[in-house]
Amino acid sequence: MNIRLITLLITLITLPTLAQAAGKSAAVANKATVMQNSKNSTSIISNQQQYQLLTDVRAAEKLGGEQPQQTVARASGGKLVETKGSFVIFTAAPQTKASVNSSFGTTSYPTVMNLHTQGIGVLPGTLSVKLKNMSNATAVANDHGLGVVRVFAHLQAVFYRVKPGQDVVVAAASLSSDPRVASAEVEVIENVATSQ
Amino acid sequence: MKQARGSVALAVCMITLLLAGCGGSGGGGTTTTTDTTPPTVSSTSPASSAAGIAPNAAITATFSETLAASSVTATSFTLNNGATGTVTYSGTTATFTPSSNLAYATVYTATISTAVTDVASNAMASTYTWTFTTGGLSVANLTDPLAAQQWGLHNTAQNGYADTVGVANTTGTLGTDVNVDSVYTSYGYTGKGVTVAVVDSGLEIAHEDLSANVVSGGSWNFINNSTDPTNATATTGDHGTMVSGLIAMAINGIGGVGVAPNAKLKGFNFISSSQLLADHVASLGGSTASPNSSDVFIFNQSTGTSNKTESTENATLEAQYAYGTSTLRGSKGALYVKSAGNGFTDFGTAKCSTASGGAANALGVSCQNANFDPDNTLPYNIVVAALDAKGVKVSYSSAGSTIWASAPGGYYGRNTAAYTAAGLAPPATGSIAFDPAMVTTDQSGCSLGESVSTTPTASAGPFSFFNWGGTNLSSINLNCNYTNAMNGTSSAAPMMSGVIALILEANPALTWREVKDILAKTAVQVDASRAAINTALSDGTYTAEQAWVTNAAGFKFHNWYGFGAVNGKAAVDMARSYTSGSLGIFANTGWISSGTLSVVIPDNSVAGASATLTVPSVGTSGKVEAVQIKIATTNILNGWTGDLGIELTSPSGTKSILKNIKDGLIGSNFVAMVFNSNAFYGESSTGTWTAKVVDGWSSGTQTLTNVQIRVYGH
Repeated sequence: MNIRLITLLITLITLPTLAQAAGKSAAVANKATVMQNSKNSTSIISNQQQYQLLTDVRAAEKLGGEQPQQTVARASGGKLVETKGSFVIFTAAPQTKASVNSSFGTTSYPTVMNLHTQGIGVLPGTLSVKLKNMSNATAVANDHGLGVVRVFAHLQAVFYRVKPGQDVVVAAASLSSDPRVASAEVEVIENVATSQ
Repeated sequence: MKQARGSVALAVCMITLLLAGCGGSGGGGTTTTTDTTPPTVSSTSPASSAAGIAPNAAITATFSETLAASSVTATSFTLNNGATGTVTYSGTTATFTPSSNLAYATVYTATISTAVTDVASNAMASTYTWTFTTGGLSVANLTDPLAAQQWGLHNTAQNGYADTVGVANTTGTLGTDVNVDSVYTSYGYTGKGVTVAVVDSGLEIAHEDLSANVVSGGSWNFINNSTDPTNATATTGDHGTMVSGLIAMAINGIGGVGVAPNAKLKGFNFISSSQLLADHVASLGGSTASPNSSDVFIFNQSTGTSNKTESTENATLEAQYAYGTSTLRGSKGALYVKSAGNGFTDFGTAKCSTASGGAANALGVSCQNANFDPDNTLPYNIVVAALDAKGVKVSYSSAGSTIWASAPGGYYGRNTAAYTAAGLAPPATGSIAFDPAMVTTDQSGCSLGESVSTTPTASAGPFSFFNWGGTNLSSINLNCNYTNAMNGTSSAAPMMSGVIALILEANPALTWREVKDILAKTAVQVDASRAAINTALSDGTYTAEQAWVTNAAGFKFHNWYGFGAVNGKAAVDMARSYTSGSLGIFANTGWISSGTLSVVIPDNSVAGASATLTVPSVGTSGKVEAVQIKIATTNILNGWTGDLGIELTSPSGTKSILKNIKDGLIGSNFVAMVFNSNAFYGESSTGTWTAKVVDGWSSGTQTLTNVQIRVYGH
């Protein structure tokens, strides 16, 4: 448990708490707005959950010691929506492609909303793929213009990564139609683990 | 030999007299006495045949006369069993100081050879030897200075550098520590041969009290793809380093000791990374290189997700857990240990406190159920709740039927005077802020970590003198390399991992399920008088949380504690004589569905909506190990999933509450969320199981549309 967080609770220092609450409210308002803006966008199924692409919301990873707003600024983003583990989620110029983009050394990722939980997920540009024959792992990657992240033969699973600018949803569809592939899913990071 | 030597000395003197006058400077007739007596050992420390000697004790021999200092060396004064050390001489005493601690419970022979001479060059007449025996390993014998305050290891009602104290575990059966001191004393087990992976935020591999146990090149940093997961970004404490210390701080005369001080450590900084699924699989035994996690015995996961809405397990991750328990450790299965969560009173949702519109706190049920983290609902994980130094659940420890057992987690470890010294108003006397937390490793140095400075800063603390470091408390934490403020179910999990390391050293042949079986059978019932939580609904009194329940197989179970507090000594004793193979083959029934239902769940009513499910014998003996259910609901009018309580009653009549009414879950309906209960362990699976869903709130209209059950067992 983070002692600094506990300190906030126990000492009940009023001013910072109010400021934090105000910031949280703004983030919630931002979240509602972006969800409204993304109606009728691309639909994604991952881990039995249905997601919808948030066309004007992106995510970027915090650098060491960076505050969320600094990350947003570095990624030329708009308003901070929320943080999720190492990711900072923010409003951005609308994009119809679910691609990982790199600009001036900063990588940004597409995001989705879980239609059941209303939670925001980050698409890190990876695909979880089950192959019919694991010996095809590299060939499949090459044929679809993907990089191999890790191969887990014991699980009949391989993880691929899209190249910058490549649409991860399109890549998943392309993989799913490949006869060597048993299944392909876009990876969504929705619930992140924290220290307990 | 003595006579011959005297004659030679006399002859030498006579010749010298003839040449230059023997000993005289002015021919004054001085009489010279020749020393011909060899030195002898007049006393030793330890005394000959002494026992219980501290492993860092200096060995001394006091002689009958002054020696030639140059003759007292590391070759003329030695210790056997490979012990090395430095030898010094002063007055008439020679001292052998071991370069490292001597082994525990070992007979040593000290030897003074005939190379030792007095100033007249008279050598020892013969080699002198004596023996002594070092003390057995016990917390009391440890020379690591912080060990005496590690109440979770051995509770003597010490304070852990906090203001208050716990309850001494004088009988070993109170659950106020993990009861391993007698494991050390009786068997000398320290986790040798057992590798524990800390899947966490990092691991400071060069830490002075951890480095000896860190597997060289065995850790992994998922951020920069190196073998050094030292946390480069955390400034207020690296969680993984604190967790690691509780498992395996070394016995080395510095800092503290872990529960398994000779276990080996690997650190995988998964939660500091992007948390890609591939990296998660790799950190849980799915990888043989970069990192090699396939040789790990125990995976400690002091982590969790604080999901506030329905969440489901990832199928690939579940498959990895299944693989790890069936294939790793020579197909005996790795042990996966997991924190229950810290959300009993709050986990970041408005549904907990009355002030923000929630009801869990007022009712006294866990706002966050341990079942809300999908990883916790898997039978592969040993889910651990946290206890305070008095053997009672800490206020924050998330409860739930998926908890297996409990272990020390502690509170906050603070000092009232530290507040006042910093010019701050302390919490009220009696606050849990001043109850003991865990003493463990912290980021090294006084610029990083929980112990950061000799001068506390205002609101950020630190709020214990121990964590002020420097010369406070007689410089016990001079270099700020340790903290006394670690807590959480994050602390309970590594305490459990340490105990499991001792169990596996005692009996490496045990399977993962046999270890779980031992933990369940040997756990200590704590807080036995804890009453059920009853509440009035519109048509009667509803039990929102049960008291301790004894199931049909004789196991006692409570949603706050699982089977109870881990009892290291009893578990190791059972492990030593455990007959492997008695649990048979692990099996499950697959999901058994009620079919489509349409049962309105009455508001604010004890009646609830029920469904029955017929379950066959699981495995060959039909014995239950874990039971999962998932329900589906529809919601047509402003109901919350948090309103609903879920109960399951076995064919034997045992009832388990898998989710409390009025908890903190938000969301409108259930689709596929899984809840697990361990309360039926050992019972028969065969027969009719009854699931009941109760709506504890007075508004909203929710309907039960499906129930499914899956029983694991043998």
